[in-house]
Amino acid sequence: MSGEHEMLFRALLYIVALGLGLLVLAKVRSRGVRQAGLLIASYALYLTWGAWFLAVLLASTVINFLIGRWLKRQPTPLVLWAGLAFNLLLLATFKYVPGITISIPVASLQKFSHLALPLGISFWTFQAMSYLFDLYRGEEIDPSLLEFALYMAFFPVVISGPICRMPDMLPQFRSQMPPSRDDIGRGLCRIATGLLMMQIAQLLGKGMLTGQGINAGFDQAAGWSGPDVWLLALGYGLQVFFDFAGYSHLAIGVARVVGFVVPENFARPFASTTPSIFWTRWHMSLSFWIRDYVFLPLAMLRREEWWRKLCLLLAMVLFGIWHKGTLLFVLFGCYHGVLLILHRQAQQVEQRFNWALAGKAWTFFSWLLTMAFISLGWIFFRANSLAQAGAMFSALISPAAYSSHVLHQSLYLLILGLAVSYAVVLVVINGLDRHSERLEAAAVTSRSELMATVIRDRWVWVAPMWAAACVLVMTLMPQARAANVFMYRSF
Amino acid sequence: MSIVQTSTISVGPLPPRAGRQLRLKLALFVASLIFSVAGFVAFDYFYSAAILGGAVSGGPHGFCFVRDPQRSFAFQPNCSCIRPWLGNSYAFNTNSLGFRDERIRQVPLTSSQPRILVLGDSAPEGMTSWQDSFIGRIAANFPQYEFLNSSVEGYSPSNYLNTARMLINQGIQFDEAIVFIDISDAQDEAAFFHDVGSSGAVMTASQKSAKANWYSNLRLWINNQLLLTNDVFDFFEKGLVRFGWYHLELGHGGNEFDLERSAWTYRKVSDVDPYETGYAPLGLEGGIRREKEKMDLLWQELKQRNIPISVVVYPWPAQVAHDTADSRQVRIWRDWCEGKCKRFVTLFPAFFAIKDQCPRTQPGCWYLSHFIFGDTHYNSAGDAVVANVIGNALLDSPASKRPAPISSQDADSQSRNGSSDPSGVRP
Repeated sequence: MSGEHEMLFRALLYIVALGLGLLVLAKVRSRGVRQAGLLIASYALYLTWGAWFLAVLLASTVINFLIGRWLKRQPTPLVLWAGLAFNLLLLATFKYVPGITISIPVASLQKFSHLALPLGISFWTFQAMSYLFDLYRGEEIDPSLLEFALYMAFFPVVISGPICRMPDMLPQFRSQMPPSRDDIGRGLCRIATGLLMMQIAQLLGKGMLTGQGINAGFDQAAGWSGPDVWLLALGYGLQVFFDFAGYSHLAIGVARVVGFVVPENFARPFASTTPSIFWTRWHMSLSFWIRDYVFLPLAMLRREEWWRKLCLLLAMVLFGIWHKGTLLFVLFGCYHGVLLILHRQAQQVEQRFNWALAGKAWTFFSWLLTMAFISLGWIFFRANSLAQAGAMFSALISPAAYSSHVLHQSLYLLILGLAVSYAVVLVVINGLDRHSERLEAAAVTSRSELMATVIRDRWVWVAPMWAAACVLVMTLMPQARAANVFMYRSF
Repeated sequence: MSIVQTSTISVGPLPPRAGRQLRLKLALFVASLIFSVAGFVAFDYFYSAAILGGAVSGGPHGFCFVRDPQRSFAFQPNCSCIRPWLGNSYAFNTNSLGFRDERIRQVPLTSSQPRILVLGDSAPEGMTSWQDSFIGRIAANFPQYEFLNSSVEGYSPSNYLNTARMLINQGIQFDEAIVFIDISDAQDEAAFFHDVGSSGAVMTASQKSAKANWYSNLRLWINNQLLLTNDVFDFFEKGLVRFGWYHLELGHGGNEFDLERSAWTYRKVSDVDPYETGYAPLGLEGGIRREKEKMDLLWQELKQRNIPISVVVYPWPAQVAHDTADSRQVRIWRDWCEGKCKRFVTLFPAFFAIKDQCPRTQPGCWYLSHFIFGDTHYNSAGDAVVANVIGNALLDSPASKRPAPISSQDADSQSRNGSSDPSGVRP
């Protein structure tokens, strides 16, 4: 089957599974039947990616469930570490060993270099570990094997998150309520938003003209100018955001359609005015996981400031290598760790000298600085090699590299146009939300009724705009009709 | 709980507030729809202006066309330009004879290789890059031959004859001629070209009428001004054609699948309307008669010089959609070729075979896969099919350097005996 047909087949299967899931949840009240129905749908979809992948998921599910039982009976650090070791070993075997063995010239290790990475292993392994942590901490959770299997394989989130937690999911798995009309409506809106965002990410990657997108920009051998590097860094940040946040909308929307609320993953990260705020808004389900299960337990071991900063650095390095076990991702983590430490230092200086840095100008400056540094971090994330990252940073600091640009002007227009459009959309949404709050208190008049309809029934007027935007994005890349690939799937 | 909720649903007129809400939502939706469409078109207008503003132009040579006293119009010798064609563009070069060629080059009077003169309309000229065109492909596959592609869009047998005579008069030696007879040649001879004097020089019709309606005018405007909107229309039109709805009004003179120029093989056409909606003044049969007369003259000119002639016929989309493999066009030229042609090649069976391969659910897939969308010309895949069939004919009956010219008396005697090359391809 060709890539395009495979995508279409999976999309159709996904829609069928969603429809069946919805039907089962709407009509069946028996908790066991509902859970079994969802689990069968989840496994059936996961099976389409490969039987071997499902076998690994099943093995991990059973072993983690048994370790969980053991941990519940005997909540000791030894049992917890045994469970964590199992999961880290599993993750390392599939995710990191193949990469390492390629670079080690030992013949017997080469067979490991071909191990296929089970889809979503980073996501569901972290879910399994959070389950063990929660049990160790004494959370009152007692899932059955069926419920735990569903937690590990729940089809909206199994491929690329958001990373869920058992205390949030278990009550929902046990609920006998059918999905409400509101759930379905909100879910469909999220799906629509996600699809548009993912299309925009594809457009950014491929560009409006053949070979003039961000992908080609990063893949060219060398010769970037200073403005080119800034553009690629900003553009890639937008691309990865539209791609992953779009996928998250899709996953959250699908879950919502069948009546489940899963964690949010993004909360307008490009509106962040400091690096610390950014990391509470970007890939939230992972950054909160690392905060709750790595940073906070480690940071509480000692009270010294240097230790906290070291923990912060370690947490960010973990964030980096969670994506991929390469030096570039270690550097990505280190870069953001250092950025967070510097921000913490700046805050301390601000407090010590009692500087009151407020006002719109300062906020704007802080936002600009944050966006600039966050954008530069994407170079480590996307560069094809360390040498390429080095060359790009060299271009950034060389004044001579600012006299021209190599990348096509259509890419400049596309990235800047999208950045401005996205900002306008955010401003409009903020305005509508603010009005919504005021309306709650206002008396009902014909004008407020109109505003209430505009604000509360947004999708009545947003739907045509959404459709126009989808058509626009698709027609802007007519040459790019090949099967599109979701970027975060590779993590 | 759900039973209680269901039982409370009442059937009847909406309460005033709910009705007002519904009207309000509907108004919002319509307003947003209008705003969205307007926004899309406005964006497209500026986007297209930016793209088209920096796109190809005729350059200093106006796409290499020049006036010609004998043929009315021709290509300028040694010209190079980028030609736009239905949303695409391609590099276009002519040689010293004003014939389309791979590159600008000086054509000597003689050649050590067998030289094949190609006479035809826009199809053998190729509305695509030289490498993709079927003559370009054949030339690449048969480097042992030299091809002189004299085809020019709009030409018909009158100008095939004029072009051959021009070469003969200039002393350009060639060893074979392959004539690609186009479906539209009948109308061109009937209504587009008329002779001026006895030299065979032609002029084009001054009176022209076009078949247009509001939709085709709108579609043409969109095609020329709004690239993205055009893509949206293309998307839906392609879907309709794929499912077998053979109707494309793109402002090119009617339905692409039933143009007056190509309809004469399977339905009645107007003998009283002028070009391009009809076949006046000569009428269809007059046009076909004139085609044959001009081809007879061409054959005689070539025969006197011992130059074999071959004829190729090929279908337009209209033929594949509405006609049969044994079309009237095929029968006319097969009969004409009897006793005259070295080869008679018909492309009709090849394209009907492609049509037969389309799944039952997508009967129009042949058009999308082998023709330029919105056009009557072949795309790259269609050109490959033509090149393959003609390549096989050339392998079956290779071209060779012709012997020294024979006297006109001998030619007449051969003509009376009706002899022709026995190895000719006659499907």
